[in-house]
Amino acid sequence: MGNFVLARMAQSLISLIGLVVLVFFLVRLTGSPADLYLPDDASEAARQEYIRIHGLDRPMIVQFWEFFSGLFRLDLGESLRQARPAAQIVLEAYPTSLKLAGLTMLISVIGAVLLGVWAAVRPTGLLDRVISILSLASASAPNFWVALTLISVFAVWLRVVPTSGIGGWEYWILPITVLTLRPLGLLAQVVREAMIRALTAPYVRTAKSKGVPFRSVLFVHALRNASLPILTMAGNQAVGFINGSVVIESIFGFPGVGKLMIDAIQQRDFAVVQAGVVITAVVIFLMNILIDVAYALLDPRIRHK
Amino acid sequence: MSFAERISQMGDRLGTPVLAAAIIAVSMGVAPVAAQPAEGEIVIVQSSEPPNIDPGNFDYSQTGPILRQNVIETLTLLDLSDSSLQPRLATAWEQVDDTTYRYTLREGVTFHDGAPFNADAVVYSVERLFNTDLEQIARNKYWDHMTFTAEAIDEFTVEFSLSQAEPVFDTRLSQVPIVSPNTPFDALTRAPVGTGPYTLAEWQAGVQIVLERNPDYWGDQPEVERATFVFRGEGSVRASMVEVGEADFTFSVPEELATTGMDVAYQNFETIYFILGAWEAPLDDLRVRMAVNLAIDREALLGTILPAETVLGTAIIGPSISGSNPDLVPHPYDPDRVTELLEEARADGVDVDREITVMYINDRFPGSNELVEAMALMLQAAGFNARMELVESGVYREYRDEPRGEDRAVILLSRHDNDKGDAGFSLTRHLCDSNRNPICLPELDEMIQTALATPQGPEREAAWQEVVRFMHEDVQVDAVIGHQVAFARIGPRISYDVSGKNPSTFLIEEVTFN
Repeated sequence: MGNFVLARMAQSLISLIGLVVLVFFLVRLTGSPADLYLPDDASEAARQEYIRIHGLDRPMIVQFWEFFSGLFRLDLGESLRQARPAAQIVLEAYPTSLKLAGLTMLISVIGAVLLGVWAAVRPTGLLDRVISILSLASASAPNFWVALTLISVFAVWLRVVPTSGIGGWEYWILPITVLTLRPLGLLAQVVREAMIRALTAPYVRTAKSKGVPFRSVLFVHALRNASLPILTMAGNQAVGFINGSVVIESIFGFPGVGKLMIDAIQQRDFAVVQAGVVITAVVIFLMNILIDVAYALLDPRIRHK
Repeated sequence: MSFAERISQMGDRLGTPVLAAAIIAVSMGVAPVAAQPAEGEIVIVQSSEPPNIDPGNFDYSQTGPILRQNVIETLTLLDLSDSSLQPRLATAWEQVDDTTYRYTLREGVTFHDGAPFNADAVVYSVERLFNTDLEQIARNKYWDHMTFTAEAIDEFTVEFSLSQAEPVFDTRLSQVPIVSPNTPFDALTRAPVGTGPYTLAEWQAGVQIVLERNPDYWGDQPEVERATFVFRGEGSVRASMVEVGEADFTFSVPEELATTGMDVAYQNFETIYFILGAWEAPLDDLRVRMAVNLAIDREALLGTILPAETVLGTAIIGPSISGSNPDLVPHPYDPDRVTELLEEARADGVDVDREITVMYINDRFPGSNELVEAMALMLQAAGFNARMELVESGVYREYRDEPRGEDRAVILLSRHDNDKGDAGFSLTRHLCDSNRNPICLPELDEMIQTALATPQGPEREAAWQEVVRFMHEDVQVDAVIGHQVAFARIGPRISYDVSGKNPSTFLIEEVTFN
């Protein structure tokens, strides 16, 4: 397992360097930050002054070297807009996004397994149909629409939860509900499919004929075998949440990394975009290792290869 | 009974009733309701968080409402309802000669950090503002064309020496932030220290900025003890927050939601207009520009694409700005006259059939995309070969500013903020040496130069009114649509008068509890 992790790290380092180079140049293709920062009618002299203050007039290769060498000192540069270290800004925003992502995935996986198994027990039954339709609907409903609708109903009309903002647990109810819908719907579909396949496998028949209680057949034999596709989909979804949820963070005013990144891109705050991408890449890399390890734990065929 | 049967039975038993019970339980108040502002506290919800709150950047629309006059004060206060100046940290001021001004400072004032407010503090504030290694929007915006220095004459008298004559120096100086001498000279600060009625208590990045009442304020103690600024990008969420009492005030709710008794329309000192690209044919011909102006059915835009409260305009300065001309009327909609003008121009060899592109930046303001669509359609209906094109801000600027991009005939949707009380802040763009001037007319240039050099007073106002008339009737490079309104929502706990105020200022000291 140790060698496996090391090999993955070496691979990821190469991709990470490629990514860093790409992001550095791509973000600069969007234009000059001076155009966005200064008043609309600022003079050319003011524009030049801004570019000089922030060292954007230096040759691109010098700027790149400064950024690249900084990476090895864990210095990701200073935000143009906020005048403080970009890494600090990104790391400040990360816990909120990770908490959102973690809770969302936890609820989605548990909910999806229960619903999916439930539906798979009697495929094409009424319950299966209802769950299928609901999970399809929740997987395809646009986040922002659901968010605004839930705010109108539960925060404005019924007044049982806050509209937005961050604070006690009650502030997490709406954002997590909205965020959970899509992965829950998708995962429930995957669980259902995998379980239907597993339940028709010969070992299930064997287990049943041996008199193993149905509950054990369902949750021990079948679910364990169905867990690989579930893990793949859950992993995919979780990785998608790592860089935050722009829509949810923007609507609910959550200080997460998704909103931070969108703002940084729109304001051409290069250092923050770079720091965000680098840190996100590292987190995704760690996530992928975790997922691989989980594969190995779940499936002895992978472990013994 | 099989497990499957048991499960589905359980589902039948529990499914709907459980959900219904949960909703009812929650709605009966079992779950907590959102925090409401405490007594003496108000919550203001803004559309975005300021990236930084350095005093020199209090011209940012996000930073202004928090800092301006609340934390950081200025020597004088510009009253936008009549463009007059009121004493703030200065008690008196006079012009000594063309390039020298003398200000008498208020005594007995201290900064929040305990430093005394005196002439040296003003000198420091001016030097910091003009430190060109530090980005200061307040410098870029008002002192692009000149500089000035400050000198302490005695403890409470400051003399300003200008690099050139500037008749509206007093007005410009009202936009200079006065900061504590302990403010870092070479770096932006995240902890601004001023003399205002409120001190910065907390900035929780991404969450809120909290101001607390300054018990040592030199003026009257305001009613509000604590003001919390929070940030929500979605207009309907801002509106909802005030509606349910989580917030007391927001400067902007979407027009379609501004239907409750809490919503107030106010002039936001922004004027919507189209820049007619007079540097290219056929718009270099006055008759064609007149035809464009007469092809716009401005009345039809009100209450449809623009709020009905929008005031149709004749210049890019609003009616309360010194220099606006009350004798002028907006261009009427006159399709017959458009046809005549275009035929006349065509007969003289003007290429009136050349394609004209109405260029715009996406979602510049509410309804802006629809306005461009309507403009293109109205021009087509009037016989122009018009189309619309969405561009990125860099491309837009390539056409708006000199040196200009490829030769195309363009009309650019634009919006101008004119919240500084004098037409000079707006109309200098029509000077020949401005890189934003669509056309250089020596006669207009001379009129603007004269107005700029005229001292403040009725004569200056008359000079600007004449410039405005000339531009409206004989130049027509701006197709002015109207002076915008925005909608604020004010919660039932407080009273605050938004009229005659710039949305980049929110005077907490004027807020009273009901």
